[in-house]
Amino acid sequence: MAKRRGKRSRRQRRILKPHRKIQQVIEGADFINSMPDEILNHILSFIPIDLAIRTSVLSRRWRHAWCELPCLHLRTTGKGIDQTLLSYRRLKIMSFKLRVTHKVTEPQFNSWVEFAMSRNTIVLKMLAKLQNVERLTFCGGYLLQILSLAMLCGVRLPKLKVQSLTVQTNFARSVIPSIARLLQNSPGLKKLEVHATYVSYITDADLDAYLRISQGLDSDTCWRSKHEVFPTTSRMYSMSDCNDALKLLDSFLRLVLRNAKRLEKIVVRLGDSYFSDEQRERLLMVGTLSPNNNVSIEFK
Amino acid sequence: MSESNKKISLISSEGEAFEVSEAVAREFEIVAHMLEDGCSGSSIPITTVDSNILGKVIEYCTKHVEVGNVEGNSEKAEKDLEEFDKRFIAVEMNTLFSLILAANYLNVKGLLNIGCQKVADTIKDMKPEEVRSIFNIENDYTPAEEEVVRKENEWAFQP
Repeated sequence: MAKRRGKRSRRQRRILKPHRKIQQVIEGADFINSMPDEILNHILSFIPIDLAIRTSVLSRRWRHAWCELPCLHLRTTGKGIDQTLLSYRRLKIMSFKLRVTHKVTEPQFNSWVEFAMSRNTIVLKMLAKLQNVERLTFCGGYLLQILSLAMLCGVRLPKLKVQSLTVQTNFARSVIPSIARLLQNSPGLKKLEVHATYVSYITDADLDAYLRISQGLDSDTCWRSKHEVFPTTSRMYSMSDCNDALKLLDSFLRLVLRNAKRLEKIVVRLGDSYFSDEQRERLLMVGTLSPNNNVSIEFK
Repeated sequence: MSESNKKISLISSEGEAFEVSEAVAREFEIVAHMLEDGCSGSSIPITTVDSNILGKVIEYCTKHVEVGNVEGNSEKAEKDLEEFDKRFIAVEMNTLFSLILAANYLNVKGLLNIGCQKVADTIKDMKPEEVRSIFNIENDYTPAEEEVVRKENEWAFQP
């Protein structure tokens, strides 16, 4: 008994021995430099990555601090992603989020496509880094469209270990191939969250022109043959707010269920641009559209 | 919840005792682990945290335990708690840092998160020079080295 007590109090002493770093702070010295690295990382993980990267000039200790972050949240276009991924060192990213929201202009589109299709394609590098990510978020349509384009041009997506995937997207025909492939290549996916809403996108006219001129591909056979139920970008929003929107959602959910075998849960956020208030209420009341005993579908 | 009436004394670095319910003490994960390991003593010395900060951490945990115990009307409770967190963390920098260090050491996850979030919000839109001066960071780069680092991540510095 005495022995056990002795052990316990040693443990207690070990846990509670005075923490030099706390003392320093209390004495008012160089606060943030006395923070353990884990806290520094924690702080940086709340900042968008481009702003976090700016902290690299603060001092030597900060130079590579951002490279070790467990979460990578990008809100940027081609070049930034490229350089970020080149410098990023942490092997296992826990969560990855890409947000591209501004409207794309033609030169930007070209730089995106160039970025996606460059010889050592960055998209592939990015996906390779994402292989072990557990939570993956894509906000905005560009990346999905670019992925679809890359796949048409022969880029192969690696297998992903992602368990929870969030996409904020429209239901344009050109995003469908990449969503389908992301699902097929994520055998461990348990939860899919879809924000069905207005997002910036590349028009089909631009995509088609690129396929025709640069790759000699016929866009009709590329996109239409397999995913005819989904609209082109020019027709996309004429389908909103009417029964077609519900059909579209139904087709989309069927596509998801076909491609993601192990899925347990789908959460669909019903954005304003697709669904009327009435439709939204009806969906929220009715619940599941495509009943499947293994997958729960929740509307929000 | 029969044990929730049990009181535990947390002793600050100055030796001041703070009597709290076991539920509140358990919000300090370090204490929860000690209790689970069988350290059943009724007073636990927290020698690394001073009375001022310990008092604040206890205030935070007490509020969160209270709100967690109220049933129903969860949306309003959540909002209240958010408001509380916001007010709670609006403190001057050295208090904020002491709170973060204490939360990290005592393993109070919620407090650690709101503290780090607050620092992140503060430095997010600042120029490097401002961040250095607020946080007392000594710039140990030579001007040439600093230029290299800036070049290395040039895109991130573009507005």
